[in-house]
Amino acid sequence: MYFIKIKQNFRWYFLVVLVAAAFFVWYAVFAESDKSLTVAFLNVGQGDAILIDTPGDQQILIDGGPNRRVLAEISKIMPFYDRSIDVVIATHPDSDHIGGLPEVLSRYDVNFFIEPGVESTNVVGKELEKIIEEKKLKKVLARRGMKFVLSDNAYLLILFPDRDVSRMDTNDASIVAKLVYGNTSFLFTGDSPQKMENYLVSIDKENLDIDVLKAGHHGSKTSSSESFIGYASPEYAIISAGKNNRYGHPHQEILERLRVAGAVILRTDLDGRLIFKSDGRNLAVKKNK
Amino acid sequence: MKGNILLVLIFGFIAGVGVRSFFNLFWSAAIFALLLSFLALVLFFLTSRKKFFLAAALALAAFSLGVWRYEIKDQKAASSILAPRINSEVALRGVIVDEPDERENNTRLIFLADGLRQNGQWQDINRGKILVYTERYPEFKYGDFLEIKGILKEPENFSDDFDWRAYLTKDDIFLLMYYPKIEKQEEGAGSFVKQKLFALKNNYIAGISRVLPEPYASFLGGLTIGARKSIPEDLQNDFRKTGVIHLVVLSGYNVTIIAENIGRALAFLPLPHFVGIILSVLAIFLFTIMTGASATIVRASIMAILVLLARSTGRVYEVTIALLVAGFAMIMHNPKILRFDSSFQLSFAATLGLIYLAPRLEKHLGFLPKSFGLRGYAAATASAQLAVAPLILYSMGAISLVALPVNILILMFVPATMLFGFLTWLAGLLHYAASLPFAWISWLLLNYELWVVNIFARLSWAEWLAPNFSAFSAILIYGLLGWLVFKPKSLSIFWQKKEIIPPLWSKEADEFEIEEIK
Repeated sequence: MYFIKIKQNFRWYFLVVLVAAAFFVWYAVFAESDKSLTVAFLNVGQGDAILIDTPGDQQILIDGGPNRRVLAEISKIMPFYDRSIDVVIATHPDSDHIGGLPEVLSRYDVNFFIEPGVESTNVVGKELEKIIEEKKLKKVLARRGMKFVLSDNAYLLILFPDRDVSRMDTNDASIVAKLVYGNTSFLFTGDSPQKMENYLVSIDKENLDIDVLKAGHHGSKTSSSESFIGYASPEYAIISAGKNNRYGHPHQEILERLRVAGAVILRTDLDGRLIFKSDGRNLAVKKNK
Repeated sequence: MKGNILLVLIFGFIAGVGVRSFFNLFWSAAIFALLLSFLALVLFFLTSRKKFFLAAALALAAFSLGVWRYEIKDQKAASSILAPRINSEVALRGVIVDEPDERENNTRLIFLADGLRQNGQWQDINRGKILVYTERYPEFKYGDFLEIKGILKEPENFSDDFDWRAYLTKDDIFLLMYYPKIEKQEEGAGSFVKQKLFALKNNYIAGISRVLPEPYASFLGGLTIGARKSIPEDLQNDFRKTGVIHLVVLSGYNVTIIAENIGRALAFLPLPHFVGIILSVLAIFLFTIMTGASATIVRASIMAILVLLARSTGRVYEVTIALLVAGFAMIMHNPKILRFDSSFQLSFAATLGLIYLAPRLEKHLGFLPKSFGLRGYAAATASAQLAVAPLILYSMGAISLVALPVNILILMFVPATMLFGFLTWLAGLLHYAASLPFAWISWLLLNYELWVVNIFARLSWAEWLAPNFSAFSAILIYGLLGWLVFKPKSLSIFWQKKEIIPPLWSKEADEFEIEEIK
């Protein structure tokens, strides 16, 4: 009845070990040899969380959703043995954007923590400060013009804030960032309201044209101004919101505006996790319910 | 005869508690039962000592004791100082007396208040437990001494099919507070041992979540030490749908099932039989300690050890008596668990199932291969599932139709998963890198288990809903099951004629079967 007769069954045990080893090696080879850019809008409920896996196999997390659900979502994108996220960006310290970040920072090795420098008013913000202090993370204030070079022809460019925002409203202070890989580009806007969008239009129209737009503030009426959408002219517009959320996001008017602008609307509440792949020329998207 | 007297007393007592927990009888009922008991005793002497009357007298006396015991428990209410302040703002101080229950969007604390602030003075209060809802951050832990300020509320039932109030009063919680202002004064109040246990538990969780991603880490945490840290809600729903939620919820049922499977897995090792049993008992003991030794888990562990004894000695009758005595002691200690603690009910039912149904079922599973103990696993899983099915239908209003295959496919690998989980942690204590190979093997196993759950949860017919399944139907089904098991003669074609219960997962099991065939 024993099947642990090590000597007699040595050949079989050896085979099992080899098969397992081969599995891990091939898993790693496939995970590492992916030379495309992945941008995943994670399904975290009412909130934002976007994970970028660069062609050079670095990871950037933009916001962490409202709670620890982001952890399980991250592991759907990253290989299981990878325990580091190179850059974490908190677009602004509202709890639906940073709620999951304390858990992320305590579980993953993070090189840089990037934030706009606006004071948080909630308990998660305080917890986050505490962890950053404890782990001695490098904290960087995002400022217009900062460029993170990700590979030969991929970079992340900060468009906003262009000034000290410490006394501003948290939504107004949202980091706006543009991700470019070859001919494909993405725009991440946090909860940036219309006045900030229009400000960006006034100073920087030519830089706003992109393929994929994360619609500001979960598709609320307070964001996605007409001129901003016009200059961005997105091919895809992403709404990151929770099912039946109590704010009524996204707003019908905004959905209509995006549609008229010619964007394909994808929603995390209806379509689940949205994974974009870009090889620098073409863009493909996969829904993941 | 001695055993029978004991049984009469125990069943009388349990019936008393049971009847009282469904119907609001008063003291008079206990006194009436006592009078009837006295009458039966008189009849016993008048009828030249007919045993029936003695049994009736004893049963009625025990019944009255049961009603009385429940009544005492039910008399408990919110502290007399706090009760008039319900719905008004109060400032309290006290200690967190259980591990914080961290959910996705809030944390629940069991707060034992011992002081009330009045006119700037702390007034001692009759220690009252309060359920406190608070934000995820800042984090608190067992033994923290807090000052809280908020509006005192009484729990209200939020749905018809779950008596939340009764569920809370079972643990003497009569009051709650939503998101009070909390100030931590000190740490380290509360029991030293418990503090160390919870610290150990947290160390374990931190160790595995450093090397394993989510949801694997929290699944492993739930599996190995019943960690309360939340698993994503959609995954929990999938667990429920496929009938394996018991694996990750800190419940007695979990202990029963896991102990059974550890016992089975150990039987494969080339060890003397008794060493295997000692190791199993040790494993259950460690599990109990690691989970923080809550009342629920202690109860279940006692039952799990009894199953182990039944299995390894084949002394089913003695073990049943022991099980009933244990159940009696537990209900005596807290009579409300009989009706309101589904964890107690499930582990008790599963235990009986493992002792009585499994050996019978195994004989009808001849079509399954014996290799790797597959038949034994199937029998144990099926009997535990069968035994808890009516309870689950009653308490959850739904039952998983794929529970059997999913449980068999997963439970076979649970002991190995637990082993590698612990090895991951132990190796991680030495060095981060040392824990990686173990973590990867754990990941492989966990991935397989979640894959099985995922596949079956996608079936549209995985779950059968029966929202109106009553307690009465459940009791009826248990009556029928009990009759099938204990009246073997009337169904001799279906069940074995002679009671032969082989020690299931010992090496003797094989020889035993050969003998039987001869």
